[in-house]
Amino acid sequence: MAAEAAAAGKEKMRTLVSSDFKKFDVEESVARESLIILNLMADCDDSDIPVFNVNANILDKVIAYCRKHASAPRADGGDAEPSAASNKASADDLKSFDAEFVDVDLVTLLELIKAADYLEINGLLDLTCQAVADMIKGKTPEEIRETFDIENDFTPEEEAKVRRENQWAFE
Amino acid sequence: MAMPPSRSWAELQHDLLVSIMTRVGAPDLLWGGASRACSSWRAAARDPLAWRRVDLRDWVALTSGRRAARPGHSSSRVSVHAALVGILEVAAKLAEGRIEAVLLPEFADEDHLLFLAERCPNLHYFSLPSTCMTYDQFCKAIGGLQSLKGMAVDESLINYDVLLHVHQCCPDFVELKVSALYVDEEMASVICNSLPRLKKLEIPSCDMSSAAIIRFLDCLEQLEHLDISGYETSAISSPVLEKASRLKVFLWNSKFELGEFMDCSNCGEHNINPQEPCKCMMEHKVMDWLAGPS
Repeated sequence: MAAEAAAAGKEKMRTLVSSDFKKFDVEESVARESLIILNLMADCDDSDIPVFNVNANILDKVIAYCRKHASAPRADGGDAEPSAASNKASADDLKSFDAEFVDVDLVTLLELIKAADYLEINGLLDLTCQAVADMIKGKTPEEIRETFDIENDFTPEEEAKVRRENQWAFE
Repeated sequence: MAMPPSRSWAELQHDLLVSIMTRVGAPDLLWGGASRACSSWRAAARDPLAWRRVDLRDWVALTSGRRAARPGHSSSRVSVHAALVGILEVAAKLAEGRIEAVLLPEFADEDHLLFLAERCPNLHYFSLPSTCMTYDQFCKAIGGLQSLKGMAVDESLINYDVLLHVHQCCPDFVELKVSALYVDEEMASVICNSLPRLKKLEIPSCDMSSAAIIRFLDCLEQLEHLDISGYETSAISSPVLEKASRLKVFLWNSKFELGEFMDCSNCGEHNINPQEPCKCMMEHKVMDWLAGPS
Protein backbone atom coordinates (compact mmCIF):
# COMPACT_ATOMS: atom_id res chain seq x y z
CA MET A 1 0.00 0.00 0.00
CA ALA A 2 2.67 2.50 1.03
CA ALA A 3 4.94 1.31 -1.76
CA GLU A 4 2.05 1.55 -4.18
CA ALA A 5 1.31 5.11 -3.04
CA ALA A 6 4.98 5.97 -3.38
CA ALA A 7 5.07 4.51 -6.88
CA ALA A 8 1.91 6.40 -7.79
CA GLY A 9 3.41 9.55 -6.37
CA LYS A 10 6.42 9.19 -8.62
CA GLU A 11 4.40 8.89 -11.80
CA LYS A 12 3.67 12.02 -13.78
CA MET A 13 0.06 13.17 -13.70
CA ARG A 14 -1.84 14.80 -16.52
CA THR A 15 -5.08 16.74 -16.36
CA LEU A 16 -7.89 15.84 -18.76
CA VAL A 17 -10.77 18.28 -19.29
CA SER A 18 -14.22 17.02 -20.30
CA SER A 19 -16.71 18.77 -22.58
CA ASP A 20 -18.46 20.24 -19.53
CA PHE A 21 -15.09 21.51 -18.25
CA LYS A 22 -14.59 19.08 -15.39
CA LYS A 23 -10.96 18.23 -14.68
CA PHE A 24 -9.58 14.72 -14.12
CA ASP A 25 -6.05 14.03 -12.89
CA VAL A 26 -4.75 10.88 -14.51
CA GLU A 27 -1.45 8.99 -14.40
CA GLU A 28 0.36 9.22 -17.74
CA SER A 29 0.42 5.44 -18.14
CA VAL A 30 -3.38 5.41 -17.80
CA ALA A 31 -3.90 8.29 -20.23
CA ARG A 32 -1.68 6.54 -22.77
CA GLU A 33 -4.33 3.85 -23.23
CA SER A 34 -5.94 6.33 -25.61
CA LEU A 35 -4.03 6.84 -28.84
CA ILE A 36 -5.60 10.28 -29.25
CA ILE A 37 -4.59 11.40 -25.78
CA LEU A 38 -1.13 9.96 -26.32
CA ASN A 39 -0.75 12.32 -29.27
CA LEU A 40 -2.34 15.24 -27.46
CA MET A 41 0.10 14.81 -24.56
CA ALA A 42 2.96 15.47 -26.96
CA ASP A 43 1.22 18.62 -28.25
CA CYS A 44 0.05 19.99 -24.90
CA ASP A 45 3.35 19.71 -22.98
CA ASP A 46 2.33 20.24 -19.37
CA SER A 47 -0.94 22.05 -19.92
CA ASP A 48 -4.43 20.59 -19.52
CA ILE A 49 -5.51 18.16 -22.24
CA PRO A 50 -8.91 18.97 -23.76
CA VAL A 51 -11.23 16.00 -24.33
CA PHE A 52 -14.13 18.07 -25.53
CA ASN A 53 -16.08 15.34 -27.28
CA VAL A 54 -16.65 13.45 -24.03
CA ASN A 55 -18.69 14.62 -21.03
CA ALA A 56 -17.57 14.19 -17.42
CA ASN A 57 -19.78 11.20 -16.63
CA ILE A 58 -18.50 9.19 -19.59
CA LEU A 59 -14.90 10.38 -19.22
CA ASP A 60 -14.93 9.22 -15.61
CA LYS A 61 -15.96 5.73 -16.72
CA VAL A 62 -13.44 5.68 -19.56
CA ILE A 63 -10.66 6.62 -17.15
CA ALA A 64 -11.73 3.81 -14.80
CA TYR A 65 -11.50 1.35 -17.71
CA CYS A 66 -8.07 2.65 -18.77
CA ARG A 67 -6.79 2.60 -15.20
CA LYS A 68 -7.86 -1.04 -14.80
CA HIS A 69 -6.39 -2.15 -18.11
CA ALA A 70 -3.19 -0.14 -17.74
CA SER A 71 -2.47 -1.96 -14.47
CA ALA A 72 -3.24 -5.43 -15.86
CA PRO A 73 -0.17 -7.50 -16.79
CA ARG A 74 0.28 -7.80 -20.55
CA ALA A 75 -0.18 -11.25 -22.02
CA ASP A 76 3.19 -11.02 -23.73
CA GLY A 77 4.85 -9.00 -20.97
CA GLY A 78 8.64 -8.83 -20.97
CA ASP A 79 11.31 -11.18 -19.76
CA ALA A 80 10.19 -11.23 -16.15
CA GLU A 81 7.36 -13.63 -16.78
CA PRO A 82 4.65 -13.68 -14.11
CA SER A 83 3.53 -17.13 -13.02
CA ALA A 84 0.70 -18.87 -14.81
CA ALA A 85 -1.39 -18.71 -11.66
CA SER A 86 -1.19 -14.94 -11.37
CA ASN A 87 -1.84 -14.65 -15.10
CA LYS A 88 -5.02 -16.65 -14.74
CA ALA A 89 -6.18 -14.77 -11.65
CA SER A 90 -5.64 -11.38 -13.25
CA ALA A 91 -7.32 -12.49 -16.49
CA ASP A 92 -10.39 -13.62 -14.53
CA ASP A 93 -10.38 -10.38 -12.56
CA LEU A 94 -10.21 -8.35 -15.76
CA LYS A 95 -12.99 -10.39 -17.33
CA SER A 96 -15.35 -9.77 -14.42
CA PHE A 97 -14.39 -6.09 -14.37
CA ASP A 98 -15.24 -5.85 -18.08
CA ALA A 99 -18.56 -7.66 -17.63
CA GLU A 100 -19.57 -5.23 -14.89
CA PHE A 101 -18.29 -2.29 -16.90
CA VAL A 102 -20.72 -2.85 -19.78
CA ASP A 103 -23.65 -3.65 -17.49
CA VAL A 104 -25.05 -0.15 -17.98
CA ASP A 105 -28.08 1.48 -19.58
CA LEU A 106 -28.16 1.78 -23.35
CA VAL A 107 -27.70 5.56 -23.42
CA THR A 108 -24.47 5.20 -21.46
CA LEU A 109 -23.35 2.27 -23.61
CA LEU A 110 -23.92 4.33 -26.76
CA GLU A 111 -21.82 7.19 -25.36
CA LEU A 112 -19.07 4.76 -24.33
CA ILE A 113 -18.88 3.41 -27.89
CA LYS A 114 -18.57 6.91 -29.30
CA ALA A 115 -15.94 7.85 -26.71
CA ALA A 116 -13.91 4.68 -27.35
CA ASP A 117 -13.99 5.43 -31.06
CA TYR A 118 -13.12 9.11 -30.70
CA LEU A 119 -10.30 8.42 -28.22
CA GLU A 120 -9.12 5.34 -30.16
CA ILE A 121 -9.18 2.95 -27.21
CA ASN A 122 -9.36 -0.30 -29.15
CA GLY A 123 -9.95 -2.65 -26.22
CA LEU A 124 -12.87 -0.55 -25.01
CA LEU A 125 -14.34 -0.35 -28.50
CA ASP A 126 -14.16 -4.16 -28.81
CA LEU A 127 -15.77 -4.61 -25.42
CA THR A 128 -18.64 -2.18 -25.97
CA CYS A 129 -19.41 -3.31 -29.53
CA GLN A 130 -19.49 -6.93 -28.35
CA ALA A 131 -21.91 -5.99 -25.58
CA VAL A 132 -24.30 -4.45 -28.11
CA ALA A 133 -23.92 -7.40 -30.48
CA ASP A 134 -24.84 -9.77 -27.66
CA MET A 135 -28.04 -7.76 -27.12
CA ILE A 136 -28.92 -7.96 -30.81
CA LYS A 137 -28.52 -11.70 -31.29
CA GLY A 138 -31.72 -13.67 -31.62
CA LYS A 139 -34.03 -10.65 -31.61
CA THR A 140 -36.74 -9.83 -34.15
CA PRO A 141 -36.77 -6.39 -35.81
CA GLU A 142 -39.66 -5.38 -33.56
CA GLU A 143 -37.79 -6.41 -30.43
CA ILE A 144 -34.70 -4.49 -31.54
CA ARG A 145 -36.71 -1.36 -32.26
CA GLU A 146 -38.21 -1.59 -28.80
CA THR A 147 -34.92 -2.32 -27.02
CA PHE A 148 -32.90 0.35 -28.82
CA ASP A 149 -35.74 2.84 -29.30
CA ILE A 150 -35.35 2.81 -33.08
CA GLU A 151 -37.95 4.09 -35.52
CA ASN A 152 -38.83 1.91 -38.49
CA ASP A 153 -37.97 4.16 -41.44
CA PHE A 154 -38.72 1.63 -44.20
CA THR A 155 -41.61 2.27 -46.56
CA PRO A 156 -44.05 -0.66 -46.78
CA GLU A 157 -42.55 -1.58 -50.16
CA GLU A 158 -39.01 -1.44 -48.79
CA GLU A 159 -39.98 -3.54 -45.79
CA ALA A 160 -41.51 -6.21 -48.01
CA LYS A 161 -38.36 -6.24 -50.13
CA VAL A 162 -36.10 -6.45 -47.08
CA ARG A 163 -38.16 -9.29 -45.67
CA ARG A 164 -37.71 -11.30 -48.87
CA GLU A 165 -33.99 -10.56 -48.95
CA ASN A 166 -31.67 -13.60 -49.04
CA GLN A 167 -34.62 -15.99 -49.06
CA TRP A 168 -33.57 -17.26 -52.46
CA ALA A 169 -30.64 -19.02 -50.80
CA PHE A 170 -33.14 -21.66 -49.74
CA GLU A 171 -35.58 -21.52 -52.64
CA MET B 1 -26.20 19.19 -28.64
CA ALA B 2 -27.04 15.60 -27.78
CA MET B 3 -29.19 13.66 -30.20
CA PRO B 4 -32.78 12.96 -29.21
CA PRO B 5 -32.47 9.50 -27.59
CA SER B 6 -34.96 7.90 -29.96
CA ARG B 7 -32.69 8.55 -32.93
CA SER B 8 -29.28 7.89 -31.38
CA TRP B 9 -28.82 4.18 -32.13
CA ALA B 10 -30.20 4.54 -35.64
CA GLU B 11 -27.86 7.45 -36.29
CA LEU B 12 -24.69 5.96 -34.86
CA GLN B 13 -21.86 6.39 -37.37
CA HIS B 14 -21.89 3.75 -40.08
CA ASP B 15 -18.43 2.41 -39.26
CA LEU B 16 -19.40 1.91 -35.61
CA LEU B 17 -22.58 0.08 -36.60
CA VAL B 18 -20.43 -2.09 -38.84
CA SER B 19 -18.11 -2.81 -35.89
CA ILE B 20 -21.15 -4.06 -34.01
CA MET B 21 -22.46 -6.07 -36.97
CA THR B 22 -19.14 -7.89 -37.40
CA ARG B 23 -19.81 -9.41 -33.97
CA VAL B 24 -23.45 -10.37 -34.51
CA GLY B 25 -23.29 -13.49 -36.65
CA ALA B 26 -24.71 -14.75 -39.90
CA PRO B 27 -28.24 -15.79 -38.81
CA ASP B 28 -29.06 -12.31 -37.53
CA LEU B 29 -27.37 -10.57 -40.44
CA LEU B 30 -29.27 -12.64 -42.99
CA TRP B 31 -32.78 -12.83 -41.54
CA GLY B 32 -32.74 -11.52 -38.01
CA GLY B 33 -33.57 -8.18 -36.51
CA ALA B 34 -30.08 -6.80 -37.02
CA SER B 35 -30.58 -6.28 -40.74
CA ARG B 36 -34.20 -5.19 -40.63
CA ALA B 37 -34.61 -2.78 -37.71
CA CYS B 38 -34.12 0.35 -39.84
CA SER B 39 -32.33 1.47 -42.99
CA SER B 40 -29.04 2.45 -41.33
CA TRP B 41 -28.79 -0.90 -39.54
CA ARG B 42 -29.57 -2.68 -42.79
CA ALA B 43 -26.80 -0.77 -44.56
CA ALA B 44 -24.35 -1.75 -41.82
CA ALA B 45 -25.47 -5.39 -41.88
CA ARG B 46 -24.80 -5.50 -45.61
CA ASP B 47 -21.42 -3.75 -45.46
CA PRO B 48 -18.61 -5.95 -46.86
CA LEU B 49 -16.67 -5.52 -43.62
CA ALA B 50 -19.48 -7.24 -41.70
CA TRP B 51 -18.91 -10.32 -43.85
CA ARG B 52 -15.19 -10.84 -43.49
CA ARG B 53 -15.77 -13.61 -40.96
CA VAL B 54 -18.67 -16.00 -41.50
CA ASP B 55 -19.67 -18.52 -38.84
CA LEU B 56 -22.11 -21.11 -40.21
CA ARG B 57 -21.44 -23.88 -37.70
CA ASP B 58 -24.83 -23.58 -36.04
CA TRP B 59 -27.00 -24.71 -38.95
CA VAL B 60 -30.05 -25.05 -36.71
CA ALA B 61 -29.84 -21.36 -35.79
CA LEU B 62 -29.47 -20.49 -39.45
CA THR B 63 -32.44 -22.50 -40.62
CA SER B 64 -34.69 -21.54 -37.72
CA GLY B 65 -33.76 -17.91 -38.35
CA ARG B 66 -34.93 -18.27 -41.93
CA ARG B 67 -38.18 -19.92 -40.88
CA ALA B 68 -38.84 -17.14 -38.38
CA ALA B 69 -38.34 -14.59 -41.14
CA ARG B 70 -41.08 -16.21 -43.23
CA PRO B 71 -43.63 -17.86 -40.95
CA GLY B 72 -46.01 -20.16 -42.75
CA HIS B 73 -43.80 -20.61 -45.75
CA SER B 74 -43.60 -24.20 -46.90
CA SER B 75 -40.55 -26.20 -45.98
CA SER B 76 -37.38 -25.89 -47.99
CA ARG B 77 -37.39 -27.35 -51.48
CA VAL B 78 -33.63 -27.74 -51.72
CA SER B 79 -31.16 -30.01 -49.97
CA VAL B 80 -29.09 -28.73 -47.07
CA HIS B 81 -26.06 -29.17 -49.30
CA ALA B 82 -27.48 -26.82 -51.94
CA ALA B 83 -28.82 -24.46 -49.27
CA LEU B 84 -25.32 -24.10 -47.86
CA VAL B 85 -24.03 -23.21 -51.32
CA GLY B 86 -26.77 -20.58 -51.49
CA ILE B 87 -25.73 -19.11 -48.14
CA LEU B 88 -22.09 -19.06 -49.21
CA GLU B 89 -23.15 -17.33 -52.42
CA VAL B 90 -24.94 -14.61 -50.44
CA ALA B 91 -22.03 -14.23 -48.02
CA ALA B 92 -19.44 -14.07 -50.80
CA LYS B 93 -21.49 -11.46 -52.64
CA LEU B 94 -21.99 -9.29 -49.56
CA ALA B 95 -18.28 -9.59 -48.72
CA GLU B 96 -17.47 -8.62 -52.32
CA GLY B 97 -15.43 -11.80 -52.55
CA ARG B 98 -13.25 -10.84 -49.57
CA ILE B 99 -14.32 -13.31 -46.90
CA GLU B 100 -11.31 -13.95 -44.67
CA ALA B 101 -12.57 -16.71 -42.36
CA VAL B 102 -15.32 -19.29 -42.73
CA LEU B 103 -16.49 -21.78 -40.11
CA LEU B 104 -18.53 -24.45 -41.90
CA PRO B 105 -21.22 -26.75 -40.49
CA GLU B 106 -20.61 -30.47 -39.97
CA PHE B 107 -22.20 -31.62 -43.22
CA ALA B 108 -20.10 -29.29 -45.40
CA ASP B 109 -17.77 -31.07 -47.79
CA GLU B 110 -15.06 -30.40 -50.35
CA ASP B 111 -17.59 -28.99 -52.84
CA HIS B 112 -18.25 -26.12 -50.46
CA LEU B 113 -14.54 -25.56 -49.98
CA LEU B 114 -14.07 -25.55 -53.76
CA PHE B 115 -16.85 -22.97 -54.06
CA LEU B 116 -15.09 -20.78 -51.51
CA ALA B 117 -11.75 -21.15 -53.27
CA GLU B 118 -13.34 -19.92 -56.49
CA ARG B 119 -15.32 -17.04 -55.00
CA CYS B 120 -13.07 -15.93 -52.10
CA PRO B 121 -9.48 -16.70 -53.11
CA ASN B 122 -8.07 -14.48 -50.35
CA LEU B 123 -9.50 -16.70 -47.62
CA HIS B 124 -7.19 -16.81 -44.57
CA TYR B 125 -8.86 -19.48 -42.44
CA PHE B 126 -11.52 -22.16 -42.66
CA SER B 127 -12.99 -24.75 -40.33
CA LEU B 128 -14.26 -27.88 -42.08
CA PRO B 129 -15.26 -30.63 -39.62
CA SER B 130 -16.18 -33.27 -42.23
CA THR B 131 -14.75 -36.70 -41.45
CA CYS B 132 -15.00 -38.08 -44.98
CA MET B 133 -13.40 -36.01 -47.69
CA THR B 134 -11.72 -36.93 -50.93
CA TYR B 135 -8.06 -35.93 -50.91
CA ASP B 136 -8.06 -34.93 -54.58
CA GLN B 137 -10.89 -32.42 -54.28
CA PHE B 138 -9.55 -31.05 -51.01
CA CYS B 139 -6.13 -30.51 -52.56
CA LYS B 140 -7.72 -28.89 -55.60
CA ALA B 141 -9.50 -26.40 -53.32
CA ILE B 142 -6.30 -25.75 -51.38
CA GLY B 143 -4.58 -24.94 -54.68
CA GLY B 144 -6.91 -21.95 -55.03
CA LEU B 145 -6.38 -20.68 -51.47
CA GLN B 146 -2.86 -19.31 -51.62
CA SER B 147 -3.49 -16.73 -48.88
CA LEU B 148 -4.49 -19.42 -46.40
CA LYS B 149 -2.95 -18.99 -42.95
CA GLY B 150 -4.79 -21.65 -40.98
CA MET B 151 -7.41 -24.34 -40.96
CA ALA B 152 -9.36 -26.58 -38.61
CA VAL B 153 -9.91 -30.11 -39.94
CA ASP B 154 -10.59 -33.69 -38.91
CA GLU B 155 -7.79 -36.17 -38.35
CA SER B 156 -8.82 -37.98 -41.54
CA LEU B 157 -7.02 -35.20 -43.42
CA ILE B 158 -3.78 -35.59 -41.46
CA ASN B 159 -1.86 -37.22 -44.27
CA TYR B 160 1.65 -36.33 -45.37
CA ASP B 161 0.82 -35.68 -49.04
CA VAL B 162 -2.25 -33.58 -48.21
CA LEU B 163 -0.47 -31.44 -45.63
CA LEU B 164 2.62 -31.09 -47.81
CA HIS B 165 0.34 -29.78 -50.55
CA VAL B 166 -0.98 -27.19 -48.08
CA HIS B 167 2.59 -26.25 -47.18
CA GLN B 168 3.56 -25.89 -50.84
CA CYS B 169 0.49 -23.94 -51.98
CA CYS B 170 0.07 -21.66 -48.95
CA PRO B 171 3.30 -19.84 -48.05
CA ASP B 172 1.72 -18.08 -45.06
CA PHE B 173 0.22 -21.21 -43.48
CA VAL B 174 1.06 -21.18 -39.75
CA GLU B 175 -2.01 -22.40 -37.85
CA LEU B 176 -3.54 -25.88 -37.58
CA LYS B 177 -6.38 -27.24 -35.49
CA VAL B 178 -7.14 -30.97 -35.56
CA SER B 179 -10.14 -32.92 -34.28
CA ALA B 180 -8.71 -36.26 -33.21
CA LEU B 181 -9.37 -38.96 -30.63
CA TYR B 182 -5.77 -40.03 -30.26
CA VAL B 183 -2.46 -38.71 -31.54
CA ASP B 184 0.62 -40.89 -31.51
CA GLU B 185 4.18 -40.14 -32.51
CA GLU B 186 3.56 -41.19 -36.10
CA MET B 187 0.76 -38.65 -36.61
CA ALA B 188 2.86 -36.03 -34.86
CA SER B 189 5.69 -36.78 -37.29
CA VAL B 190 3.39 -36.35 -40.29
CA ILE B 191 2.36 -32.91 -39.06
CA CYS B 192 5.92 -31.85 -38.20
CA ASN B 193 7.46 -33.08 -41.43
CA SER B 194 4.82 -31.60 -43.74
CA LEU B 195 4.12 -28.31 -41.91
CA PRO B 196 7.44 -27.39 -40.29
CA ARG B 197 6.62 -23.69 -39.96
CA LEU B 198 3.55 -24.03 -37.71
CA LYS B 199 3.24 -21.32 -35.06
CA LYS B 200 -0.08 -22.42 -33.60
CA LEU B 201 -1.26 -25.99 -33.08
CA GLU B 202 -4.55 -26.93 -31.43
CA ILE B 203 -5.54 -30.54 -30.77
CA PRO B 204 -8.09 -30.20 -27.96
CA SER B 205 -9.87 -33.01 -26.11
CA CYS B 206 -7.49 -35.61 -27.48
CA ASP B 207 -5.58 -38.45 -25.86
CA MET B 208 -1.96 -37.94 -26.79
CA SER B 209 1.19 -39.89 -26.12
CA SER B 210 4.12 -38.27 -24.38
CA ALA B 211 6.28 -39.02 -27.41
CA ALA B 212 3.83 -37.12 -29.65
CA ILE B 213 3.90 -34.02 -27.46
CA ILE B 214 7.67 -34.10 -27.26
CA ARG B 215 7.86 -34.55 -31.03
CA PHE B 216 5.80 -31.40 -31.56
CA LEU B 217 7.91 -29.44 -29.09
CA ASP B 218 11.20 -30.68 -30.52
CA CYS B 219 10.43 -30.37 -34.23
CA LEU B 220 8.17 -27.31 -34.60
CA GLU B 221 10.84 -24.72 -33.94
CA GLN B 222 8.60 -21.73 -34.64
CA LEU B 223 5.73 -22.99 -32.48
CA GLU B 224 4.36 -20.30 -30.15
CA HIS B 225 0.95 -21.65 -29.16
CA LEU B 226 0.10 -25.26 -28.29
CA ASP B 227 -3.37 -26.19 -27.08
CA ILE B 228 -3.84 -29.80 -25.98
CA SER B 229 -6.39 -28.99 -23.28
CA GLY B 230 -9.64 -30.75 -22.56
CA TYR B 231 -8.28 -34.21 -21.85
CA GLU B 232 -6.59 -35.23 -18.63
CA THR B 233 -3.50 -36.70 -20.18
CA SER B 234 -0.95 -38.68 -18.27
CA ALA B 235 1.64 -37.57 -20.80
CA ILE B 236 2.29 -34.22 -19.12
CA SER B 237 5.65 -34.61 -17.39
CA SER B 238 8.44 -32.34 -16.30
CA PRO B 239 10.46 -32.88 -19.51
CA VAL B 240 7.35 -31.83 -21.45
CA LEU B 241 6.85 -28.76 -19.27
CA GLU B 242 10.47 -27.81 -19.59
CA LYS B 243 10.37 -28.03 -23.38
CA ALA B 244 7.06 -26.16 -23.43
CA SER B 245 8.42 -23.28 -21.37
CA ARG B 246 9.62 -21.63 -24.59
CA LEU B 247 6.02 -21.25 -25.81
CA LYS B 248 3.98 -18.09 -25.40
CA VAL B 249 0.85 -20.13 -24.76
CA PHE B 250 0.64 -23.74 -23.57
CA LEU B 251 -2.81 -25.06 -22.64
CA TRP B 252 -3.12 -28.51 -21.06
CA ASN B 253 -4.86 -30.54 -18.37
CA SER B 254 -3.02 -33.13 -16.35
CA LYS B 255 -4.23 -36.28 -14.68
CA PHE B 256 -1.81 -35.74 -11.82
CA GLU B 257 -2.07 -33.43 -8.86
CA LEU B 258 0.44 -30.75 -8.07
CA GLY B 259 3.94 -32.11 -7.86
CA GLU B 260 3.12 -35.67 -8.82
CA PHE B 261 5.16 -36.63 -11.85
CA MET B 262 6.28 -39.83 -13.41
CA ASP B 263 9.62 -38.32 -14.36
CA CYS B 264 11.80 -35.74 -12.76
CA SER B 265 14.06 -33.61 -14.91
CA ASN B 266 16.47 -32.90 -12.08
CA CYS B 267 17.57 -36.25 -10.76
CA GLY B 268 16.49 -38.19 -13.83
CA GLU B 269 15.01 -40.95 -11.71
CA HIS B 270 11.89 -42.68 -12.93
CA ASN B 271 9.52 -42.43 -10.03
CA ILE B 272 8.04 -45.87 -9.46
CA ASN B 273 5.14 -44.55 -7.42
CA PRO B 274 3.32 -41.92 -9.54
CA GLN B 275 1.23 -40.94 -6.54
CA GLU B 276 4.23 -39.48 -4.75
CA PRO B 277 6.22 -36.45 -5.87
CA CYS B 278 9.85 -36.85 -6.73
CA LYS B 279 11.93 -35.99 -3.71
CA CYS B 280 14.43 -33.67 -5.32
CA MET B 281 13.87 -29.97 -5.68
CA MET B 282 11.87 -28.85 -8.67
CA GLU B 283 13.20 -26.10 -10.83
CA HIS B 284 11.48 -22.79 -10.30
CA LYS B 285 10.36 -22.55 -13.90
CA VAL B 286 8.71 -25.94 -13.71
CA MET B 287 6.92 -24.94 -10.54
CA ASP B 288 5.46 -21.92 -12.31
CA TRP B 289 3.87 -24.17 -14.87
CA LEU B 290 2.33 -26.31 -12.16
CA ALA B 291 -0.03 -23.46 -11.39
CA GLY B 292 -2.06 -24.48 -14.41
CA PRO B 293 -2.97 -23.04 -17.81
CA SER B 294 -2.46 -19.31 -18.18
